[in-house]
Amino acid sequence: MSGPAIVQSDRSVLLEVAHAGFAGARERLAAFAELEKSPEHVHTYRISPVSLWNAAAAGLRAEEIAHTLVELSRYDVPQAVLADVRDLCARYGRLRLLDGVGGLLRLRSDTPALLVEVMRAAPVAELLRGCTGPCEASLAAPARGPLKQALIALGWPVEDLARYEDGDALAVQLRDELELRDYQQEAAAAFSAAGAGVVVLPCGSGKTIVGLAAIAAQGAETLIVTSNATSVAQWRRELLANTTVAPEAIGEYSGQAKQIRPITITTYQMLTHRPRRDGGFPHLDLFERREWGLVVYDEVHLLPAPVFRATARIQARRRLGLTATLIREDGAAPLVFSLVGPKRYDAPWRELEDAGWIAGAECAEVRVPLAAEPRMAYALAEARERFVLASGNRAKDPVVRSVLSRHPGAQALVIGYHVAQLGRIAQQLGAALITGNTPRHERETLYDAFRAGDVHVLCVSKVANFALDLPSAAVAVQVSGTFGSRQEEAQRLGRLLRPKPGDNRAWFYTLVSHETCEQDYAHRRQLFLAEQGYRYSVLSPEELDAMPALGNRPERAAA
Amino acid sequence: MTAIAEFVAKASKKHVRAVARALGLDEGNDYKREIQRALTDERRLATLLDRLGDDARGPLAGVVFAGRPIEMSQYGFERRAPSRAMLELERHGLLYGFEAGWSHHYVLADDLHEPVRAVLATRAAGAVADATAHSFIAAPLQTAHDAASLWAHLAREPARLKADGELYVRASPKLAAALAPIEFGDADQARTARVAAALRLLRDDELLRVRVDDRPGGGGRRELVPAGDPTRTLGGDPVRLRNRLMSRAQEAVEPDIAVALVRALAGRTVELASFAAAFCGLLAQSMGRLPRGVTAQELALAGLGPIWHAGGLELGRDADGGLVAVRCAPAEIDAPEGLLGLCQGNFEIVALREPTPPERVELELIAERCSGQTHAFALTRASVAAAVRAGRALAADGPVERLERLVGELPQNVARSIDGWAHAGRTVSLRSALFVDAGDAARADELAAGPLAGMVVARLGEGLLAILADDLPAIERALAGAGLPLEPGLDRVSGRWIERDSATSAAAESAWQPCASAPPGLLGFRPRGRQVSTIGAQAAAPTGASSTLIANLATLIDEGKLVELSLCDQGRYETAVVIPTQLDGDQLLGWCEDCQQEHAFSLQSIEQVALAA
Repeated sequence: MSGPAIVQSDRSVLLEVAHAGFAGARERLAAFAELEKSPEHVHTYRISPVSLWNAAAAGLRAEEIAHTLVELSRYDVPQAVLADVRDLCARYGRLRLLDGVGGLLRLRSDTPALLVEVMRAAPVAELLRGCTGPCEASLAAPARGPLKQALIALGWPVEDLARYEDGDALAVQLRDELELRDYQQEAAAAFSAAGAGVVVLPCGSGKTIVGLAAIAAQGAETLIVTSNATSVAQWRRELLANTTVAPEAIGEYSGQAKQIRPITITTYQMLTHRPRRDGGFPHLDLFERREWGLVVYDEVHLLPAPVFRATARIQARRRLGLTATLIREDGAAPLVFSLVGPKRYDAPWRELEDAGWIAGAECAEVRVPLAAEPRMAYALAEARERFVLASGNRAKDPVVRSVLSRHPGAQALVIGYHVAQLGRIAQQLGAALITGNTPRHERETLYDAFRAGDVHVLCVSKVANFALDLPSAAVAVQVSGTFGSRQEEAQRLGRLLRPKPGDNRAWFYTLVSHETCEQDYAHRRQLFLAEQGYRYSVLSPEELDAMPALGNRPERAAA
Repeated sequence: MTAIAEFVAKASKKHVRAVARALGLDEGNDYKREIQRALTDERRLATLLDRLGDDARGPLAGVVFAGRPIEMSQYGFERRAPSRAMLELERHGLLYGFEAGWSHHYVLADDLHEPVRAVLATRAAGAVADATAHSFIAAPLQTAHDAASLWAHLAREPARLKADGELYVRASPKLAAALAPIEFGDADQARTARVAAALRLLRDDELLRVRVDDRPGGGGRRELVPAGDPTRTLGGDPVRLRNRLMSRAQEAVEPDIAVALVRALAGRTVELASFAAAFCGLLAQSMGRLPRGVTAQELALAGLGPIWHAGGLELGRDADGGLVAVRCAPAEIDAPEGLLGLCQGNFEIVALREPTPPERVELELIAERCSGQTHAFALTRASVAAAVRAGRALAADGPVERLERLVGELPQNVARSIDGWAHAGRTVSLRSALFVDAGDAARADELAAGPLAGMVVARLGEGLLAILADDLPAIERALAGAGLPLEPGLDRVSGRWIERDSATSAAAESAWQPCASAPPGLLGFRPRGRQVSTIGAQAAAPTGASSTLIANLATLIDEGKLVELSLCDQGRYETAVVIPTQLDGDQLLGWCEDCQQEHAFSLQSIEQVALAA
């Protein structure tokens, strides 16, 4: 037994954490494979066409990748994997987009046959204006994005070497008191050097700061697209707190206001809003309403299809994608690669955790039995009602109190899906409740009070799922959730990962009704967190009660 | 089945003397012993076979590799004298001829089979060139691993069977997908061959049974389900297991020839191309001809594949991954060290070394292999429930304990969930029970206390004794022993108007075969069985619709014989086992045993007609 990795024929790579060569192997693998799962003992990496093209874009050669695989692998590397690596890597760079004359662009291939082959595909042919040589064809500038999209669908990624438009200048500087962490500096520099691409950093590690650094480096008007209104407010707050940009230069393009200013912040939901189901997207032209020098896509893994189309039209603008994961469950990763750009920076969360930049978290699932009467109601209920009955289990209420009593004085969030249930719990705890109906200013007031430590417990509905920055939250109790949504689980946990004073620890509890369908859904969510490397324990309410207050030191699986 | 000594003992003195003279033995020697010694001395035998020429070596190869008895017979023709080659072989004591009515039978003594095989293989291997390879791929005990995977898969998802015992077509892809991916073993045809070999192994070791849903209204659904304890059969000494797999593989002609060549080339790494040439030479000698439309390398791989999957050799490949060499030495079987792997909090088991076949049974029973992966397995509610159901036969303890023996302590959340799933996954089963109707209470008492003691499950009413259906044969024997034979038949309640005879179930069970005909080998070529005797063995097969063929067929139709047709249609080679019924113009009509329906065969496509045993 020698190498730390096992390369499998489906192009997955298993990497043993306890192996002496783990750290070096991880670094080498990350250059051409995406980390798919990182549970405690063995991490799974996935070699995909996009990951290989990302590697090729970063200058890695196929032979180096093959050599790395052979060197790291414990067993013979399947021949088909090596052949795929060579074949896929060889595709990157064979087609290049270059500047042309008269505002046109040139598509150049390394062989005449390749150009002929791709031009035979109708979606490509209709974007090209004709051949200007045996290996070259011209196209109009607006066709740049659609062509890249069409070519990647054929399996031919284009190396985009055409220039970017600088956009209208904007004087922005980071404030002196903001000290960028090393990885934030590296990420911003890697992006700035390329002009387009994606930065992958874990939740809570300060991706927004990387965005600010990119804006400052670019010194141009910027459009920021993010996931929801809370995140819009957060970006605005961060811009004002950490950059020299004036408040009047920041616009918010949302349901409430349609301000288009040198730095404009909007949401994917806003851009994809359409008054009629079969109508167009009236707000998508925001991309072209100003001469943006930079477009920032926050949570780029959520980028919806219409925004891809709009992005395809603005390929001459610099684009920064920010995300915690490049893996898209809808298989749209190649579109992110071709239209936003290749991955430019990636930092493993374990390193950030070890350095204290994000908090360690311990997860526990508490299985709460249903009382006799609701148990019978559950048994007799239709399948659809069962989940509601299980997740609304009133026996969870005292368990919430029990959890909170284990963490006296800790800043805690009680998160749920059912507003009635949350209202009941909030009342019992004497805590404030935030739901979708809570007016925005009231929400912000409560969040500020929570941040300041004036409020210790907040009960929040799914409005708190995304991009809510509550750095002091150290305990989360999830009393109900949507059916097994892994993303929701990750986002909720993400709320806790900001560095904490003291031992830098956080606790994440999920309450589920024992022997119900809720337990099955919770299993899926549990799997996801375990795959991210969080140790998960399963407890009964009695076991929870028996645990000493704050005595069970949270642990992350050893890396 | 007879040894040389027995033939010599029964032969006339004149014949023995003639054989001794032909073998160059001195007069006055103890002929009987000397003849045996001379013929089993491989060097002398090689010299002798060299001298006798191809006409004589061909029939011998047919006997030792293809199991083709040598018969000289003619249907519809006047008898003719044995060939010169036959007479030479007989004269040298290699064959003994017997006359039986229409035909001459020639028999090779049992103790000559191995020496003749070795000599013929060594002769064929003479031109095989040495080679080197960039890397070697081994598949030690792969057939046993495949059997383990299938057993576990069937525990989770039984395969539907047709009434005649064949697998439904739609079951095949699922079975193929249940096998772990291996290099050069994942093409559809290769997987089909692996499934067939593994099913044969399981069937022969009685690790499969047919479950027939004979419940009233059940429709008689038939399913192939696992039985017995495969960890015992697939465990033990791995070298012995490999030998067992090899000898099973050798039941087909091509692997048998491959094994003979590998033994002749023992320890060498040889060029695949020249190995294939030698293989084809020997195959042609054994079968009389080579199938068309298949390359020499494909044919050789059809022979090498099953042996490779048993672990009898390794295949070498060049830097581009192409197969270029054969290492004629058994693949090394790693002795398992320490735990198999580990279990993670995300319900994933990672095997950090190759499992042994018994470990694979346990592992793949409790956890599902992640699709397309060889080392990652997922614990799911369904897999744990299946393990609880099927695992009773394997171990008394629960899935957590069984898993911990493989991968050490489980993470707390995993152990807790598995316990919950195992608890919820427990099932109760419906089993057939029968009643022995003793007629009256006194007779029932007498039987329960006497011949049926220990076999009666419950007493119902005055004269009814409930017994388990599985115990029926023992009950029958006990009652017969006590002079109380059971009445034939079974008085059974059924929800169906057309009563399904219980014998049908038994028939299906006994008739079950992994596939209709011999399984395809590596790359899909079908190794052929041996139980065929040829008509006009050494005569060239008639091509086209000759009058000879028509005359032969007419005779066979009259006699109602079961025959094997060798067919060649547009370069495609296949065989069909048929009862010919009628000649219709340029077609032969017959009942095809393979597809169980009447078929018409073009006379132009019939290359050879052989009596099926």
